[in-house]
Amino acid sequence: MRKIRKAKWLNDKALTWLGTDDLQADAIFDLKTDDNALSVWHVEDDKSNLQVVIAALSTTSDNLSNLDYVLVEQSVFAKAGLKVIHTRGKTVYDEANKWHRDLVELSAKSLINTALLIASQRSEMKRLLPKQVLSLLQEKIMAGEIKTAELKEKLRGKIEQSPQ
Amino acid sequence: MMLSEGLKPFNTGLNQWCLVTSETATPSGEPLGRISRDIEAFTATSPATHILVADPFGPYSQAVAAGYSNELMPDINMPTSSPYYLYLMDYGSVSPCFYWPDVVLLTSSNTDEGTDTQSQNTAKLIERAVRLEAAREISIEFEKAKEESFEDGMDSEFSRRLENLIIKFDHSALAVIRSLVFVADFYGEAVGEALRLLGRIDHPETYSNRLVLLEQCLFHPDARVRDAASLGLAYLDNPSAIPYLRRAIQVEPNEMLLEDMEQVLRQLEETLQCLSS
Repeated sequence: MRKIRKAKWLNDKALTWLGTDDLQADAIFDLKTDDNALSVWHVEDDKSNLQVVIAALSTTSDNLSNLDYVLVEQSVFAKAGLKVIHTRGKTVYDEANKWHRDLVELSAKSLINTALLIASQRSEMKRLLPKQVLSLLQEKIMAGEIKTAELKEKLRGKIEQSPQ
Repeated sequence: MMLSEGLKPFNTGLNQWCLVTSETATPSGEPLGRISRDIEAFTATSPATHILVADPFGPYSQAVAAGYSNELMPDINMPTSSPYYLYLMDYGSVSPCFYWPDVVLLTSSNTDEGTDTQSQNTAKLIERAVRLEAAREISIEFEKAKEESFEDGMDSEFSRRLENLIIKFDHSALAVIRSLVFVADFYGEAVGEALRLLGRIDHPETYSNRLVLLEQCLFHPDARVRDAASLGLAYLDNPSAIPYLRRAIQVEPNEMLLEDMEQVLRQLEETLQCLSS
């Protein structure tokens, strides 16, 4: 799973210059690499940890926001020859950090291939609205899995002023 | 400080302006320099950076022009360039031929001079001047935003500055954003960021106008704008947008976006249910 901004992955008729099997160049910005590695999260086949991963990603925000993401079968990456390694996540949701992975040794060409693979999974691009993110975070805070004090100020403020 | 009667200070929130009108006839034979000196004195004691000339062909305006550009009146020995933004307003009769970077011409062609008093006209022109100022400031931010990349949930310099401008300029800021989205047919990622911000900010004074603008953007030809508008409405969580969302869903050609709009609609319907129970 990778956090994205869905608007960049839209292939719309209004974008007449964009081929049907192509993607907007802006989408590449959603795949910002660090040390030629792309941060992704492992989601179980039955999606049992999906909410945990979404909550973990949401804790990194400055503000309460929607969260757009895409799910890609791990086998798709494997077939494309992309290397996945375990690296512990760095979110304040400690329980979730074990699900973090990196796609490593990415060249520019393989990054574009990754983008095209993701674009081919448009049906697996999903969105949680800000209100849904809020209630998910509240649930994890209530369960004691996330500490409010560890969240960024504006996000914390929004959670504290919202009824549960 | 005694100013000539045609000089009036006003504040638009961001900048102090000096309004130059010809409501009071200039005493005949008054040296041009006197009015220029008045403006100098005014701007020296106030933070005025913008000068608005209501009648570019009246004697006051000639004086301002003389004082602030040799290009306009080359025979008069005055400072060569203005440290101020100079705005000239035209009541619709004559087109001036000023080609000068900091001069902007405001026309009053749609003001009804037959029934409106001159002060009403001036008020309308001042309103337009405020909008122009907002346009200048906001356009600069949209230009700068081309260098920024945006991520959901993360603060950006652009959204921080735009929020301040919305607070400063209120409805004028929204009018400018509307024209950037619809009239200028401008799209940058900044437009999407701006529409999200319109839903997110806490500014009751512009709430209803923000809601209306977001509803209008649901029908924009660009799917990325429609997407950002539906997100903005999700932030506002106001059930009065339900009819607009329903109509937008009926005509939405993009499957991916349709799904997201339906999700927002469900949220607003739930909110409506909560409010009515």
